[in-house]
Amino acid sequence: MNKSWLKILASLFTIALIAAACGGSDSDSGSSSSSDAASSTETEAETEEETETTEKAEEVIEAGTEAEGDVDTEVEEIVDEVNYGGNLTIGLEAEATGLRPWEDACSSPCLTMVLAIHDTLVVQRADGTIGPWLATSWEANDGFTEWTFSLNEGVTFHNGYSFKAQTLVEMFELQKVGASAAGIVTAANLQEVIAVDDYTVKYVLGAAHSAFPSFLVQTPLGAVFEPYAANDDFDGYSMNPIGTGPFTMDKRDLDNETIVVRNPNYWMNDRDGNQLPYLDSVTFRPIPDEGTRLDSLLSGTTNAMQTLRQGTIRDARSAKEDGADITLLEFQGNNVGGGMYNLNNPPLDDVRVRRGLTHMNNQDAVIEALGGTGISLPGTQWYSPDSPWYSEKVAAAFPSFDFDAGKALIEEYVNDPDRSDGRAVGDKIEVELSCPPDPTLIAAIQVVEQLWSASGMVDVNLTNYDQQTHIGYALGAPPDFQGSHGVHCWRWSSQNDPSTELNRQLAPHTLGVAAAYGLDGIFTPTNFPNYFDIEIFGWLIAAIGTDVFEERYALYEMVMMRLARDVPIYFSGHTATLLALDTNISGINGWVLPDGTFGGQGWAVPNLNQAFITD
Amino acid sequence: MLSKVIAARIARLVATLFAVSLLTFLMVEQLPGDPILAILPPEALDDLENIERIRSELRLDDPVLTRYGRWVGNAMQGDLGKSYITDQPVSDAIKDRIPVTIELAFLATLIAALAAIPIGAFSAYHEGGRFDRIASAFTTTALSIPAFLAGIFFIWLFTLKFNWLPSSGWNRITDKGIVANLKTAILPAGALSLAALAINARLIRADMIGTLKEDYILSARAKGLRSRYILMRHALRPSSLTAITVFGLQFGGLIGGTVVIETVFALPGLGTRLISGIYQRDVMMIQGITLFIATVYVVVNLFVDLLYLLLDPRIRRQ
Repeated sequence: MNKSWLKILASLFTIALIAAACGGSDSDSGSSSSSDAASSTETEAETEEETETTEKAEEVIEAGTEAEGDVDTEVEEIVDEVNYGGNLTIGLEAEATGLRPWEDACSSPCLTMVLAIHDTLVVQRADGTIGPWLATSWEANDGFTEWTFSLNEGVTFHNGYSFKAQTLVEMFELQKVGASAAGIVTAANLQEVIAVDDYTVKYVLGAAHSAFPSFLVQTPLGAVFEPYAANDDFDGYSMNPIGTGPFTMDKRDLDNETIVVRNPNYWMNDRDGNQLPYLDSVTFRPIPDEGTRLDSLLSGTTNAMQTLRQGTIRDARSAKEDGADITLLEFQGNNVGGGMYNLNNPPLDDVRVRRGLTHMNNQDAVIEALGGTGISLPGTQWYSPDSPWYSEKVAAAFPSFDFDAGKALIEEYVNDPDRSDGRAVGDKIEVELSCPPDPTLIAAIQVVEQLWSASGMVDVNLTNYDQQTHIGYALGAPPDFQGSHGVHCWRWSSQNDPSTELNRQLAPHTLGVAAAYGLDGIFTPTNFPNYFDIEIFGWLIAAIGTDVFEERYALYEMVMMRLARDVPIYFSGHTATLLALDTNISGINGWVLPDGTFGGQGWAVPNLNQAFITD
Repeated sequence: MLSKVIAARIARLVATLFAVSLLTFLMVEQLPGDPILAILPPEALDDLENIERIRSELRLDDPVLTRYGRWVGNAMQGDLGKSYITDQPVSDAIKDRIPVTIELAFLATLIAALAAIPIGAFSAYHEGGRFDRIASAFTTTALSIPAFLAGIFFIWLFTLKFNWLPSSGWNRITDKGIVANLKTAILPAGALSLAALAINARLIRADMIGTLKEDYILSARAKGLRSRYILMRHALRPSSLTAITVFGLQFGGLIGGTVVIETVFALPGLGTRLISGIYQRDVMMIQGITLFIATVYVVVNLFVDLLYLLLDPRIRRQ
């Protein structure tokens, strides 16, 4: 009798534990720079080798439309009747490092908070173009070296100060030396900010940049903060930020909750003339554990959450299928997981090895290991199939999974008497394959290791370092910044204009390389694969010297074709993100700009200024 | 005599803290990668002058021993430096978070004590009986479950299934009162207490089994005293010495143990800050919090030692 009772008790407890474990956390990568999902490419090769630029432009998938197999939530006009009042509690991935736009490194959770308090000059529309926000219009001179912006009048900061052109001049003094903004100032070659009059400001660049407004979408340069408050209390600004945004800081309890309340003097109205925002308050709760964050939403502890993890997206979908009363806003943009080959590290300096290893990477198996089947689109280039920059030609040129072709290339290298790694003919090559120590990432690289090892010609050394070490390993140390990594998991690209990242990341990786090509002083530590091609560099410079889309498209396509040929980096799958909400939350998908166009979602950062609760 | 013992213990405490501070500093120092690179976002790395300016501002270009000396010197005056990432003084970060961590550890210890004492005592009293066997199965199970797994189970059971308690967050007593506070504290404290509860229950049981066989207990029984009276009055006190030692040690250990449980329940304690610091390579925060936790641990140990002297006259006489 006693034994039976004990058995029943033990069984019940075991079942409960298993259920909890199965339904609980599925922590994906904690890495913001690590590889994400992968999937096989299904793109159809273009048979025509030569295509006119204008014809190519016509083939581009219209921005904002859905690519085949895409799981993005479509942007739709808000049809619910708006309500004022209520509190929205959002579960965030982490606490914000800080809320100083010019100073603090900011990822999705931090951006969610920063943008509730600060407005940017311009914003990105759902179709990827740049639209008005605090700036109503803008124009460049013929050489794209001077950009003049007209500003909204009657905008005030939370402390009552007026927002004028001089504000941007004062902000620039902090941005020039801001830990976060200084790099963007350098990348944009921004020399000076001039107040032409109270509501007109001029940005003066040191060189042409036809996509300069794209830098103002980014918070370090574009988020408008009250510069006098920032100067008065530089360190304390994070606890009491002053912007022009829809919400003002009410309570900042680090690692627990940050509460912002409605800004009664917010400058923006909705299309019917109702003053924004609708919500009384928003509470941000950092909940690092993925499972707990989803459970918090499902149990009503929060009523919204964000995630960048495929496992959590999968669990949220399951919960919805099981009847959970939630709305899922899925989005995957250009950000694409994959990795890089360090060209400083033989045998990775040889294109046969890089192409061979990429060919032997079964993206289907990798995506399965990551749990991203049916969630992430395959990646073949810097852009997703929804992007106006996407190229079918590049997709066809990317070395997709073909084990035999890959093996043949490695074999050719291994039997080459002049092989670059100094080993004897016939000896296996040795590569280090490294990802941050996340269970799903480890599973994914184990798949890759098995494939490469199965060729019989590759010795793979798997390593895992924490996130910061992983980045530092690829970055190397100042002043040379030559990372000693091998094959390294990484994430590439963003929703922003291609120039904002490509021009920097494909610049000369050492001062010596720069000097060899007559580019004295042009150098970047963020060329992580240590790959430089003077033609690519020329195309990239040309692409910021024109604002004709077709011309720019053709140039970026040439860049991507070269990358597909030389394979310094490889792609797996585009990064899926999710905003999950109670079904009575509306206005987060389908928010509009002052000109009536739709804004974009992007990277699980909700725009809260038009959010409301329907009942 | 007693003062000599106390002085020796304090001297040992200082030596331990010195060793901890040096080891912590050197271990963090040995981590690969440049702490400056953790401060800056990738887009800021193109500006080499900016990198060197920040390095100089933070005095990271000084020799290792100079930096260690400066850090320890400041720490002795209560200044643990400023976070490289957030610019927040580390001592402020600790001050904001320590109430949460201490409360969790205290509640976990309390739960463990309140449950372990009766379980251990009655198991011993009914040695080999049904209650003893059930308790034994329970303690074995509790010991084998990591706290984070228990936490996930509790969230599933008490939040998703019954919706009794919140799954995350922390209500501060000062903001929302004791009841609201306990609603957010009870699940993590419960999860944290399981292992301590099991160990203590077993220790008390084993100790009391021996005590209950002592002549004076038999004498008390022979006098016809009630079982509860014998257990609590005559048996528990001598058996509690071991438990008190273990409770004390566990309290210090639980401060460290909260690191994981705070992350699972998204609580604003020291553990959460330490984990964030590690992810962000926030050198000053890692060093400061580690030193603080070590200090709490050794100070609690010292108090346990002193309590031992107080409770046991034999030790005092020795």
